[in-house]
Amino acid sequence: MAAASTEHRVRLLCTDELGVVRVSEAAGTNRSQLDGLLNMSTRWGEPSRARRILKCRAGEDGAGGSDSGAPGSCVASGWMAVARHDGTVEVIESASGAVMGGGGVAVGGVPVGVNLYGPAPGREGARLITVTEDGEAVVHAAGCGSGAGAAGFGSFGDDDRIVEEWTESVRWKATGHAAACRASAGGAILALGGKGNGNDLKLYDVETQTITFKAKPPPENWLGYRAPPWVSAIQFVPGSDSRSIILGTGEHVLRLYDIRTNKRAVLDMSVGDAVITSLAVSHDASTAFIANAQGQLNSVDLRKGLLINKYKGHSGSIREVVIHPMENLIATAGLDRYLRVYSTDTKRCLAATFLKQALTGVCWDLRGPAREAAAAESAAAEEKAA
Amino acid sequence: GDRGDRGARNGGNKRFLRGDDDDGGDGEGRGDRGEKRLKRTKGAVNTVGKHTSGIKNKMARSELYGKLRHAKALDKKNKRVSRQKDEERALAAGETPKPRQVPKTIENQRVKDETFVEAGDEEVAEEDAEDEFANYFSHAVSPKIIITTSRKPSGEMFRFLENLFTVIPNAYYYSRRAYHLQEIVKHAAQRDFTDLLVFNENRKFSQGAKINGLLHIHLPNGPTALYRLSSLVLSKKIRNHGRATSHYPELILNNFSTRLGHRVGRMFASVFPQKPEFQAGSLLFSST
Repeated sequence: MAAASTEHRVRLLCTDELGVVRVSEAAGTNRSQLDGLLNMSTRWGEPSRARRILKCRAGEDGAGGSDSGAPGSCVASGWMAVARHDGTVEVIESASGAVMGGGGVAVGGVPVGVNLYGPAPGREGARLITVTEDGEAVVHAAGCGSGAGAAGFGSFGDDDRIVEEWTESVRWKATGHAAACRASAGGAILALGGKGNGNDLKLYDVETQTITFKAKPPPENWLGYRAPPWVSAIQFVPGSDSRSIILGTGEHVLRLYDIRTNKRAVLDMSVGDAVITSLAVSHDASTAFIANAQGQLNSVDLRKGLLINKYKGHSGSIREVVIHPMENLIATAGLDRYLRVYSTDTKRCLAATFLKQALTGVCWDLRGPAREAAAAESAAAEEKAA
Repeated sequence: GDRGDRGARNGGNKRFLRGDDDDGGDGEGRGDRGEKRLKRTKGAVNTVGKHTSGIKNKMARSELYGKLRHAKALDKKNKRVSRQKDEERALAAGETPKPRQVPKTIENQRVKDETFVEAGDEEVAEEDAEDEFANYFSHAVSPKIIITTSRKPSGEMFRFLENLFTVIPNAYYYSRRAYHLQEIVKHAAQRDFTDLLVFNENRKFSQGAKINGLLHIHLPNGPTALYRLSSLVLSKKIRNHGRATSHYPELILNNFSTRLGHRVGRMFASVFPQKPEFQAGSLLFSST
């Protein structure tokens, strides 16, 4: 099997309502086609409703994220952070499912979002930022090093595993109630928002725990009414140096903020008919993908403020939309128990798998075993050639 | 395709019986008004009406219609007779006869898809062990139902509810007054009810009240299902209807085979107590 045939292999990690992580894989030889079905290959974790996974997020580069060159080569992209309903957060190694960092960390509340970053130039270990429903933000740190673990990681760098246990470095009360959060710039900036007055979008500097940006509410409408803030999804726009943020609200409104120019939203438009549950942005920052609680997945041109596409298929609330770090593919997981992969070029659903449990999150895994095999093969081929 | 119609529009009655027109426009031997054979049309449905709809003249049209109908019935009968003869002949000769044709029913048209629940699926069992109905199925909790209506219910609603109370054990009626659903849910949960059934009716003054919706809320934060009700028939209207006794009914849930069906089936089951007394009647929930 030539190395090229496994080059575009797709590997997705889904989390569900019973706290189990499911791995689904498909081979892909062509950007517009997924060769073969997206089948579930393994399950990690014991099913338990009390430990259901609320949010999951793939680890990101600690060096200042959105503008870094090859997202797949950073250390943290082989990790996934998982936030559970019983108030614990775990970091799982994507290739094997092993929990790193000495087990789960108690966060002190129901987590609402979790962000994981690898080592950065100014910082030795990994950083885990969690926000709870009560509006508290907690940062945990753990040292990295090469540890005995999954084989074959050698080609991607030595500090691959989190070796030490997580220790809490800082905790502060960020807002009254939080419903969505997202960190950026290698873990230096934290954006969060919740439901109710006083809980609109706020940006914090994580090192100093101070507010760097507070969103101004939209002007009153013609009735003199202004809806109280209800932030349900946040996403940073790539390539903007963490300056542009999009936000989805519970009243199906999409807002785009440009921090340096205006405290009010630059773009404010209504998308879909239900609470916006998740947002993703295309690599060239032109299109935003908006998923809501009714299963509608729409894409909007951020520059013009127009709805461009609808992605059909889901019949239940879409809990998460994630874009592939390098290619033009989006994966969605929803409460209708289906995992779907869409191509943003052709707008078609390339694959849909029925995963039998209501899904709550999905992550792309760039460093799964198949990729390792492909990398090893190509390395071997290069050696032979040389 | 509606060849007949197109033929008529072209002004040619002679083309109305054209089937798969591979000899492209050649009308020889076909399209004769006296044509008694029904040819296959390209469309999915091959009915007599499609062949005659091109004829504008009502008398001519109805005459041809009658002839084609008769021909069709005769054809069907002849086929049946020949099938029966073949079967008898085969049986007499000791060979296995041809398998009989299977009629199409709604139930056997169901296409199995990936969401079907197989017996012994451990994922389903894992979810069932911890879902909202787990404490009902483990006999920890027995159902206590509140039944209410939309605001200002009509007499018809009360007659329907009378029927319902004979069937659902341990059900209580509370009048809706002007309470919001959220208030009702909160108070019911406080008083340990397990399910809330809200029947909705729409009133059309020219046609009378119509009961058309059921909102089933499983109580402590359980799932909520909104059903549309149609073709309601009161038990009085059913000839020789059974009389419900005070025994707990036995539930039969048919064809709740997909993942969603499984969950909905459990939701129905959680409304009735779990000690079926088989000398009582059974309640059939059938999904197609």
